Amino acid sequence: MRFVRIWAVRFLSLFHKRRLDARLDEELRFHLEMQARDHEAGGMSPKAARRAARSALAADGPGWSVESLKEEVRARRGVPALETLGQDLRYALRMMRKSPGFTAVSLLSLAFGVGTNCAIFSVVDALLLKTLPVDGAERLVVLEKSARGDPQPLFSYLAWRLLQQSAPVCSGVMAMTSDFTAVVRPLGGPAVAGGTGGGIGDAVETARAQLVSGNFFPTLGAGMAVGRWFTAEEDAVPGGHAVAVISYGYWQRRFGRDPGVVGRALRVNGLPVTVVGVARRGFHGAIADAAPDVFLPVTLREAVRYEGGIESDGPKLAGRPIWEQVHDHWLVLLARRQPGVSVARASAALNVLFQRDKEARFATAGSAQEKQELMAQRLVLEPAARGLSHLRRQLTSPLLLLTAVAGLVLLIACGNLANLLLARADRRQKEMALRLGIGAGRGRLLRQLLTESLLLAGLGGALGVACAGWGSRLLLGLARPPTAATSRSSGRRRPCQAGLEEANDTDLA
Amino acid sequence: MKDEAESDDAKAELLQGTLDLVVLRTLALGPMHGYGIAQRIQQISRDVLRVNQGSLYPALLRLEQQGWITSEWGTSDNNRRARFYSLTRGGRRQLAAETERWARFSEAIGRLLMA
Repeated sequence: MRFVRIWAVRFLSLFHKRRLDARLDEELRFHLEMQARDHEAGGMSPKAARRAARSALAADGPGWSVESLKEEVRARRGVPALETLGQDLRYALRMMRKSPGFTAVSLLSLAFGVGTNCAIFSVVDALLLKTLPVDGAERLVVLEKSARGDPQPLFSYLAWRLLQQSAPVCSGVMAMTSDFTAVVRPLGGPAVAGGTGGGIGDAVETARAQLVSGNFFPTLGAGMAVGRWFTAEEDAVPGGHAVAVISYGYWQRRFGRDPGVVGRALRVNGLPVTVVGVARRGFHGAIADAAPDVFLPVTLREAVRYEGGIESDGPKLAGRPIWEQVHDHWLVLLARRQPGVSVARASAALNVLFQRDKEARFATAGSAQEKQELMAQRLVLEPAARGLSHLRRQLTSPLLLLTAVAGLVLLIACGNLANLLLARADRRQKEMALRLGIGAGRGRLLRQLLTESLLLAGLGGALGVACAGWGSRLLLGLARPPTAATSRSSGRRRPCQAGLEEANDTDLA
Repeated sequence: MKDEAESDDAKAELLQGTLDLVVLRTLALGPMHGYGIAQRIQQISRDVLRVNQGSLYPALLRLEQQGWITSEWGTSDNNRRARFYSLTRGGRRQLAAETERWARFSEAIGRLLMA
């Protein structure tokens, strides 16, 4: 306790050094004057009295003077380690200014090495390492039907309804589609069918939307910032409930975090829907590299004119809606295992249910080849703690390769810098000899050099991290195929392009 | 010459251990400036103990850092501005504890020497 107090006092005294120095000066002057006065009273001449007062100091030891006494007091006052560090840093900065060429080359090579690694690692982390920001993500699995090692991730609406009866092993089977771009525009009042939103001059606003099942939010364990999620009842009737949950980011961007957004109407691809809630900050669904702005019930598929991703493996039932088609597969299914239920047990139980879906499809299947294919299908559960991803499958091995290359680049940058430092140390031999000659300790010199190197490394690293931001944007821009970019809204494409242009600029510089 | 240096060291060491106690005891008489403290110690010890600036001011700083004494500007008897030191409550407690320890110590030494 006392120890902490003493060091706190010493640390604080760093901040009013000048005042404390002045105080010590005045005290010592006063002391000497008083002593001289007393000597004078004893019959000395004023001059002799002053000399005697000064020489009294020498009784403390050889070579004692007012200055060395001050030094002694100062050493006990502040935090010597910190003060030396300050001195070393100032000196190191001066050295850096004195050789701008060396500084620029070493900083740039470090920044490049560190920046490349940061950029690549941030993509690797987001895509390959980070788990979804939901509770118990390790119990999430994605369902795939596999025939002879060829996994297909899509299911029909009826298959999803069947698989939902797996309560003993799964706390929920969620359905969702891929995310898509929709024209989204807020309306003034509550939703009115057929009403028009906005004047002619309004720019077309687009946002990312995703269809998800009613149990999506509760099963993922996603909290809400405002309002509520939609329930399983609200996605039971096709087209029945026009409701939406918006993401925290969209709420912030588009509505300035206005809590009154709950109850407001949005027009999504022409369909008026009522916002019932805002998902909590950081929740972005179950796709690692997508961030939907608007979540809608899967039953709004037709109403919001989502046309993506139907895979058919048999003839359509004439005149029936998509909800009743056993051969139209368009839903991605995620399940959360109950605690303590192994993947194998959950898989076995789900396969029993899946058998009934297979039978339904078998009855209406067309060719003999289709039937054979169907019989071979089995349900496979893949861990989905890290969420699904559009890019993961294609990018895993290129990313790992890039990571290795980036590591090499950093290694080369370090080697390069080490060489530069060595060459400089050679040039500085005279300086070192001089400093040793006038009494600097070896430890002190070592500390000085270490401080210089650390400062260089720290600045280079900081510069690298600063560059990493646009580096990873550039990387993602390159990873996205150009055809996908054209299908996206112009607003989405701009950051990648900006990243590319920035990169070109620096290449030329 | 060498002997003298060694005896100086011995004196300094003795002071190091007891200077804090002596300063605290002196300040128990009332607030005092640095020169006053030195004078008072010399007077009371009948010139046996001499405290020089070189050890006094570091000691005052040390005691102040420990929170046993505080200081403030005041006016000396010849109307000069001077830094006056005074004992804090913690300092009073420390003085009592140190005094007792010293008494026990010197009694033990005394008994050993008499035996």
